[in-house]
Amino acid sequence: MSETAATRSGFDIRMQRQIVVALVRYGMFIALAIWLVAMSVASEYFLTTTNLLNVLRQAAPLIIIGVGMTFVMATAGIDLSVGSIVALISVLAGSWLALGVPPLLVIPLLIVVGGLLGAFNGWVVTLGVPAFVVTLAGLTSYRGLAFVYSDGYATPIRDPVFAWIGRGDLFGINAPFLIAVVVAVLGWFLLNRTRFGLHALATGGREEAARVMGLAINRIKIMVYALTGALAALGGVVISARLSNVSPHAGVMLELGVIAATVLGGTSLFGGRATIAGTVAGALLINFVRNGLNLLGVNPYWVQVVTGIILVVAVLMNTVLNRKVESWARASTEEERT
Amino acid sequence: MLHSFKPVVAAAAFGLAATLPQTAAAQDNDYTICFVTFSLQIEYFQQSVEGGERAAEELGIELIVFDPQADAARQVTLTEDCIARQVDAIVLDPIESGSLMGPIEQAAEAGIPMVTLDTRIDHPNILSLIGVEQYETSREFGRYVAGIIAGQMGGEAKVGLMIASSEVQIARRDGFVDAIRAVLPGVEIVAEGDGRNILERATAEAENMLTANPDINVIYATGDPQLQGALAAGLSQNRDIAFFGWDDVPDYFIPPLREGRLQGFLMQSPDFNGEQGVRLLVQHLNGEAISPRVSYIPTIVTPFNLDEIE
Repeated sequence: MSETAATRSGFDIRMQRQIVVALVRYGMFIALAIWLVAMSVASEYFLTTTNLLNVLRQAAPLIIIGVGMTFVMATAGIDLSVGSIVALISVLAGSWLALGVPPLLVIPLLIVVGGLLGAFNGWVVTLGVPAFVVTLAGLTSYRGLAFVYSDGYATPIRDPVFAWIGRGDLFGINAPFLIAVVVAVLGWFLLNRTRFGLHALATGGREEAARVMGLAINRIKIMVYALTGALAALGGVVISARLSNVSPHAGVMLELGVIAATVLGGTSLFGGRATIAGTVAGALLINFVRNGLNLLGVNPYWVQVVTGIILVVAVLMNTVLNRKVESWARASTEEERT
Repeated sequence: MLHSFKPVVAAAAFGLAATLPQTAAAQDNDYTICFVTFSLQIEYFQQSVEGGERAAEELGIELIVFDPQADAARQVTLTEDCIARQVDAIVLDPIESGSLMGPIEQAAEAGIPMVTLDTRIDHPNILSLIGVEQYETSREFGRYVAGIIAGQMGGEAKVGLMIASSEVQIARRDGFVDAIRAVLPGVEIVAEGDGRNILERATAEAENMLTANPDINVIYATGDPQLQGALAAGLSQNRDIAFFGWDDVPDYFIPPLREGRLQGFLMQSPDFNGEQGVRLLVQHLNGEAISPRVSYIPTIVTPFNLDEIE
């Protein structure tokens, strides 16, 4: 590197380095942009208002719950129970609305229930049980509760407030996506601009160090799981509203989609590094890939294969490549100084 | 046509050449119909789609088949994708009818007509329902079962139900239970298992049910995986049980019927449903009037009429 650096001007090489680092660091956003352009060229149906609004609405639950998952992963945890919380919240919503509870009371209550379920997960995690096991237990038992509570029945909901949340719009943007945007902005603020976000990252980065520094690790863990539970509940409300239907089958395998979106975005599974914008981009990419391939008439089973490949490539970029490029950039900066 | 080259550009960019559809360049005069089925893991729906594909080939139209894999949310998403693709019409086999109101409304606004298979949805944009009446048919079947219980078991039996908690199968359960209750008060429904239309799960569920209820002597199953699972469980536990159930999978069910393990299965014609769905929509697109209800009386295959049916 030093030979080539010597032959060129310092400005050129710094520029080049910045570009490479940016390419790797913002790879997900670039991939999303390329995909959007390519699909717009490939399918005449892609770049239409109907389609874009459809996809934003489809991606909304993934974004909403992904924001919570980003916090959990920041602390080096994982939450597999979100899909089942969605199902339980869905059937609770149906029965409370049927009892005549006003929807503007039902929704906050559901979010509280979701938060409590999440807090319970978090509390068990602080006892020393691995998060994977705790939330795997949640995955089976919360959905079990949903089936017990509903007897397996799906029931339609005809409430106007829910109808608006699922299919309404404001200024031409549909309600689920608006909710997702609000959640993402608040999540970004919480992660990057508050002590709570900083402490969550510190917990995941080096838990022992964080403990020595006197951070209330247990309280932080309970809070991130509670936040994810609450957002899973909000996601459950949006999903039920979009389908105008409550069902104990709601959100099957949703946890995997949420984890995929979060990891795609660049949040590390091992904690300490988290990005809300990345999670949003990841959720959008997953949905736009599926939608684009569907519009092209590609065999839909390929969608699953392609999504898997993108996931592996993205994580490779986010971890191995990112580390290499950044250490290379750091090394050559230091060389320049000497 | 420039259009036909566009997918190639995308494929080259992303190395997706293997996934390129054969029919990327649809002719402008042809109709394109979307067929959003229920789950292609289940033979019933495979046959339904085959019927649709046969009709599409005969009529020379393009058929796009989407498999939501029994996930109601995915079915909504796929239906929305069909609308975005501006297809001419949509055949829908609803997983949860309530969840589809949004996309049906959207299709109505976009002027895309629809028909449903198996499950009724009341909406002016749903032009026709194709398939048997689930509740009534299951009640008929229940009367046949009641006859066997009355004649061979002295009018008393302990019944286990194997269902999947979908609308269609819950209607079948209710029709059966109502028929039995109406004529045989001595029959007890002792257990109900949810096989969720997955063979592995249905088998495990049936095994548990039989273990927990050693006195069960009749099983009624409301769908293929449930019936197959129950038969497998009965065989592995070597139980003397009269099995009855749905659906049209002669390959699996005729041998047990011959061996006397199965007492009857209800044979629908799913390929008829799929085929009629596509045909009716094409007729509608051609400006012909179509019937809002297309049905048939399915056959109950029993040891008594097996030879005639084969």
